[in-house]
Amino acid sequence: MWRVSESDDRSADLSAADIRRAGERALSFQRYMFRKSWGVYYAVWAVAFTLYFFLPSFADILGFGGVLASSYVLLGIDLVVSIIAGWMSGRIIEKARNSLLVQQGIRPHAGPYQRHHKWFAAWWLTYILTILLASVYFSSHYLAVVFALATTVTFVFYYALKSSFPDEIPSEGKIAVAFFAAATITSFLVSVLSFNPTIYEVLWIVTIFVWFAAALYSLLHATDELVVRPEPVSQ
Amino acid sequence: MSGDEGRDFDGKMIPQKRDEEDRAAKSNSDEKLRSLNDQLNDPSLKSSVRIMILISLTINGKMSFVELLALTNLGKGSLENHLVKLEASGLVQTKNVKTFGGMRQVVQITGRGSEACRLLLQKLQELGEKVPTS
Repeated sequence: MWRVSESDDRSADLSAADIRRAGERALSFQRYMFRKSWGVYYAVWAVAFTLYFFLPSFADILGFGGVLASSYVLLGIDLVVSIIAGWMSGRIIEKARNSLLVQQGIRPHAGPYQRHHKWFAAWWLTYILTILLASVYFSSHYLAVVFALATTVTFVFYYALKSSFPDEIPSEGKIAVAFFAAATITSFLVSVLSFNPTIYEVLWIVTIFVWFAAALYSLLHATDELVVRPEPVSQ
Repeated sequence: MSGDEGRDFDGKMIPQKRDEEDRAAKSNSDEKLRSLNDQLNDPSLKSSVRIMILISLTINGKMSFVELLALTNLGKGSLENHLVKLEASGLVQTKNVKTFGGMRQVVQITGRGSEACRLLLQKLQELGEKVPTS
């Protein structure tokens, strides 16, 4: 009869150690899966940033700027972008959480799983509600509120990256998050101190470029994660 | 009951007491191993490749056939055989979906599959350091 043995005895069909090795291989492969997912994710956020900041300018160039003159239309766009990007963030965080739970099961020395992910939904709802309330009650400081909220997104990006790549965050991820943090903090300060917005517009153009480049790099280099592979598992 | 029972004046454990505790720990470990055996008695889980597929699907929810080929390093026919066994046990579900690049086969974990994997990982975790990793 097939039994799980406490030893790594090959006479048994499959040992608990075999199962652990299979799990380790699935986790190693997960870096490739995450790298691909993050490639798409960077691209989605880069499109989101472009819409946030430059849609009115594009609309003016294309000759239908009048439609976007209404603050409700812009608010609607902000909300749609936030919901789509937030949903994608939730998907990535969910996969990262599953990966951590698997790690905890197969690695005897893995630390206890931290359930920070449960705060994500609360944070996201607060984010959307604050945008709505700010548009009604703080319309004169709307941009400052949006930028203040956006700075908190940096922590979400970092948490999601760290959960997806617990061993080492890929370099494109570190660069993308650093540019995002710099852009949001600068934008917040510029809007609070009423400086010329050109400063942050230039910074956001660079950030969008960096995020598109990160998307491309992540997708092209995802297969690098498949190069170093453990030995084949028994069937 | 005092916590000092079974210890000498220096606080060292009396050998007889230590043996009893070792036996209890071993019995507990044996019970967990039996439980893992019961869990894995499902024929579809008697393969580390199928377990690897199940773990990967637990993390991702669904994966394409091409991704599973990359994960397992198997040939198409061999992977199909493993998937047929997993599907017959109701642990996964395969379907063809339309994409920009044409039809694509996607494998999705079922509720039963997630539960089986969750129990398996839980049992492995309970075994803890008793089982060597390599």
